[in-house]
Amino acid sequence: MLLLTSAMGIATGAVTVSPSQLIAILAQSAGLDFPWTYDARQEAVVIAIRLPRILLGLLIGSGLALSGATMQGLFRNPLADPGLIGISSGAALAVTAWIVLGGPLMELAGAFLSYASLPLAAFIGSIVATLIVYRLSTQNGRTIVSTMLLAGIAVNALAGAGAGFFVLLATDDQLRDIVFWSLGSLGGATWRAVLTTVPFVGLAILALPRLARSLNALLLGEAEATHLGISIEQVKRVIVVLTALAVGASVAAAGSIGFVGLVVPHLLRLMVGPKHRLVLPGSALLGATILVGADTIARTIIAPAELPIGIVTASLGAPFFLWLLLRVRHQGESGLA
Amino acid sequence: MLEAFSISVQVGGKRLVHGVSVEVPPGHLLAVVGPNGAGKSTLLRVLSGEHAPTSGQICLNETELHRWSAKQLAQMRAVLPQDSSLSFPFRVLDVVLIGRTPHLRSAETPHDYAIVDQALRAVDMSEFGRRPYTTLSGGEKQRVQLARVLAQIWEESPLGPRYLFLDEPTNNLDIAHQHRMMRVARSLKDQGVGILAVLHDLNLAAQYADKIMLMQNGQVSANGFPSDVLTPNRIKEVFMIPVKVIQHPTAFCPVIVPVP
Repeated sequence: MLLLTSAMGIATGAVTVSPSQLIAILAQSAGLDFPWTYDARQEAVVIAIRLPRILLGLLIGSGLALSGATMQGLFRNPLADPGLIGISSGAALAVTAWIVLGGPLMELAGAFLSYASLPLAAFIGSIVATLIVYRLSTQNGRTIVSTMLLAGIAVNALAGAGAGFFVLLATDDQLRDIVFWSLGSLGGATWRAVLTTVPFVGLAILALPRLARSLNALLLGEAEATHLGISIEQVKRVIVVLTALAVGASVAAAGSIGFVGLVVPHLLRLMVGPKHRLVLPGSALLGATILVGADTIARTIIAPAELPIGIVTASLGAPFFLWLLLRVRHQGESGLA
Repeated sequence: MLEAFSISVQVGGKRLVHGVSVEVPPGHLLAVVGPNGAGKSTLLRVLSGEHAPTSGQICLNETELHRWSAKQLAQMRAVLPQDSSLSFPFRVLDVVLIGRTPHLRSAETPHDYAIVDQALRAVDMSEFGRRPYTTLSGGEKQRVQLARVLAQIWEESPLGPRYLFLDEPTNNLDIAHQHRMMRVARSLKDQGVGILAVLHDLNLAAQYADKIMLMQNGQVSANGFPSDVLTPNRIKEVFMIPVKVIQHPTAFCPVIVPVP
């Protein structure tokens, strides 16, 4: 399903590419020759524009969904997501501040920095917010999860107020930038963006599923997990750092894309049950599929213009999720806690 | 052997446990009883390694508690909590399987599933294996949690004798399952497991414990055989309620009856 969605994503758009041509183009870059012909424009579009965009979508979708699933396990709360502990709002504050105040600085800094500055700001914002929340909720080496939630809410509110303040200061042009960024888009995808995102999201994808068993035990309670021989403080640290990196990198590359981190793990639990050994890798795969699918819709539905992807994920996902909720309730199952 | 010497616990300037020494040899059941707020659960948390004591020393199998790694500890002692909140709909089977966590290298083996089966049978919950945990009643959940801790220490450990901590295990259970729970504890004891149980029901303690430790205001008021500890005068002094102590007609242990 993942491969199929990706292939469809590559093939659709202003320049159409047939499945056989797609295979031929990809094979060509791997040094193989296939009999199907394609023109240079198609090759350029696939290699330079669509391929990095799809890859970025895959990375971000899996990173967000995996982080969401892990957070829900850590907080023992099916409503948790990375936004809850301030990761996203920290990034949003930093980006708004940069759009409004960064202009003069950018002229000084030169071309490269101005290109990379927005993602960088988002990244720094998310890491700083996470560190603040983590510090506030950690005493004598023990992290208190409920304090972490409360600190996250406070940091969210503060960051929201700060961002609102910068919005007030913004000019009309800057306002447009802010709004567009806050709805998220994969439009900025380049090979460079893909390469900067890979290590952060890749680390999370490699490491987080290994915590499946610890997360299962953690669902019983922290004391119970300790009694089962799990070093929960270490597990918490690893989760906070890895999700901050993955989500920070995602927000940096594509703005804030809501909904994926919250809902994808739920879909997985409805499909395969709550065991993290299945939910974690499953969320990564499904998140990737959904985001690439949503992005394909986002850039084709009102072509040649492009819809922010956040609008697509929310407007398609939310009704679907509500339908699932109703269906589960009618069946009288407690699929969602 | 589980040994603790003059344990004290202070939290925020308040003394919860003061100068308590206690021993649980393998194959013994020690019941800790006392009024609400006497420090029983705090003591259990410290002895099980969940919290470090403010002062005092705890040894498990001749090694100081903090020298064991979390995983090693988990391979020889299990803890049944007062109540467990699990809001995700795991199957009963999978909840019990979580108890095998400290013994797993990679994936669960058929051997682990066999242990889960036997543990569920021991608590009379075999038929519930595929039910979602969230649909169970309070008493059924408690029995599943017991099966989980049984699965954790089902087999002998190369690290030494095993220990089981029970924190008010009979909460939410009807009288039949209260006694069934205590009989499960007794059969574990016969396999050489050392058990420390915090109990509210003095009669249950009298009937199943080898020794009883009576706590009051964070200190040990009495420690010894049930018939020596549970005297009318001491119970009146600690619990502020007049009682008569009679003899159980068949088990010959003391039975405490409140009198008006």
